[in-house]
Amino acid sequence: MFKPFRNATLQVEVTTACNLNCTICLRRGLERPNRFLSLGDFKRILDPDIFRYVGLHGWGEPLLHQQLFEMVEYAESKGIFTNLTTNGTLVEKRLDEIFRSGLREIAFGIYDKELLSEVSPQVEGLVAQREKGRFKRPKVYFDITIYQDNRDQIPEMMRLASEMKIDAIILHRLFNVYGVDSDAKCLSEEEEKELFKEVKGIARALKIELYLPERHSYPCRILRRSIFVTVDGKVTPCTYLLEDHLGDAFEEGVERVLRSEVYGSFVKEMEQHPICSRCRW
Amino acid sequence: MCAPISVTTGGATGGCTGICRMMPQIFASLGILGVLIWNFRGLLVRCLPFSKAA
Repeated sequence: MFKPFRNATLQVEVTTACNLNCTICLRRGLERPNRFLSLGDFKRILDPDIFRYVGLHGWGEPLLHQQLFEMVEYAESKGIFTNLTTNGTLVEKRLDEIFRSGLREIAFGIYDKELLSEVSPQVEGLVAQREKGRFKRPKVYFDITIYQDNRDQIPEMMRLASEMKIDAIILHRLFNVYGVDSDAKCLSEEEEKELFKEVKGIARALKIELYLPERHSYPCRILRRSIFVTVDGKVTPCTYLLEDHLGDAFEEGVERVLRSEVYGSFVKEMEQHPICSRCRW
Repeated sequence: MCAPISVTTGGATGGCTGICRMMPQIFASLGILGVLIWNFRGLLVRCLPFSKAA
């Protein structure tokens, strides 16, 4: 059977609990109880015939989940490539599991130099352990949110990333459509162009891989490349659209939702969606 | 938290790299080449050395 989503990513929210309370994080505005996805439910929704990648994070810190690396091992055993984004504060405690599980990619979500200096020892510990054990995985990323307040810190953060022997840097735009932090402002197109020119030069000089945000279009790259399942099994188009339930992953399975009319009409009408029409992520 | 690494990188690092990333272009080029050969098959057959012997 034709599998249109075979190269896509299933993003699974393994927990809603977090040990930080970041100013720009959407989680601050959400009133959701702390929950953890069970290993059984994870196995139920993960279909290796549909997805090539699984991203194990949502609105919570994935390393708080005790069975996280059992999920990683299970996904890898099914031929699905695993990745996750963490705030980095708990990496040291789970170092052995990170290497043993076969996790492919790990990103440290960073939005300012203060947080970066807080997690630096953990990042360095991970990279040092990978070198010491001659492990090929995981590939380590910095996933940096760009906005007005940290614009001038980005070159410095890139240099620090290079010193810490980070493999690659991802820059992405701030999502602040809900106004979680009213002071946080996105860069203008001109400012963005200027910044991208500068960071490309820095990346070349430092010989570090760099991924920049793409030009925004509809359907957006998140919708084209992934689907999100919340800790309760609700399927939504992306992490920023928690209220747009397309179906239930536990009851129907993700493939059925992806083939449904509800999903199809969401894709068609995305440009008129009240949130998507204002999102430039 | 936001989109997974494989979404922001387009799956560049988790899966195939190098030549695999060029597959769409390679297939498209082969298709165009096939159409060209089919269109000019008469001319090509006449130009082949064994066609003269026949």
